Amino acid sequence: MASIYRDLRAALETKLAAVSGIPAISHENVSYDRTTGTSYVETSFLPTARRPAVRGLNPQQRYDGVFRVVCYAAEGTGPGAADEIADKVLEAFEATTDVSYTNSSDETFVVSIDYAEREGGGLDTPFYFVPVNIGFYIYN
Amino acid sequence: MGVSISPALNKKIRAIDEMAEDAIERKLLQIAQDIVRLSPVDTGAFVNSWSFKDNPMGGRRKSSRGKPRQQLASSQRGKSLNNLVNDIITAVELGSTRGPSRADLQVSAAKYYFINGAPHAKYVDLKSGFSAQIRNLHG
Repeated sequence: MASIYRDLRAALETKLAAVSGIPAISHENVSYDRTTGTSYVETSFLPTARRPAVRGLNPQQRYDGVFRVVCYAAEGTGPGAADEIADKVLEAFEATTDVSYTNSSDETFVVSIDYAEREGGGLDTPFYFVPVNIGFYIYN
Repeated sequence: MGVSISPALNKKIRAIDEMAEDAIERKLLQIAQDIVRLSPVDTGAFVNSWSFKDNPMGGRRKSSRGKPRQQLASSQRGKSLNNLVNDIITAVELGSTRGPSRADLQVSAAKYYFINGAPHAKYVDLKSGFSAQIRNLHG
């Protein structure tokens, strides 16, 4: 059985792109020139496990992972801007939310959000950042 | 008033102690394997800075400064896992000379920590989302 990682990534990135008020998105392995003073978010798709959900032949797989969204805002302007972006991400990916995505083969995937939590902020000069970790799972 | 415990019951209690110890050790080894597997490797300084300790101070601290890059990941991860396995055995096994039972004195630590002392650990974590993955796997 082929894996569905491409579709999982697409589901989560599409959902993020649709969140109102989110600044520019820097995707993995895509060149992004950040502009000092301009907020942006950086995404990482981090699968952690792909395990059979049941015993027996051809079992359904349970996929687990973390969709990480790091929210960047200008350094030295206080935490407000990054916090505001982080809140929007948290709200969009609240625990128990289902993220539905239909791929080009007309297959629909429903990714379940397990949790969404943020970490403490930090400096990556000339930006201040706040990471948000979104735990997800899906049976397929 | 004294309470006497039969030798058979004592033996069973000891067996339960050993089973619990084994279960804890297995779980810690699983976490150690995931920590090493998910640690990014470039110079090897980050992956070789992991320690398992009963306090969050000190531990291994390797700097990447001046070290050759693009090291063989499997070799660096092997060294790191070896260190962590030794730390866990030392900390958990009752018979260990540096473990929880030292010269008939029971030393119990309320918490144990997997800590990374690399100076650039926080930066690596920001770029790799490493600790978020470990929490996702092991809570």
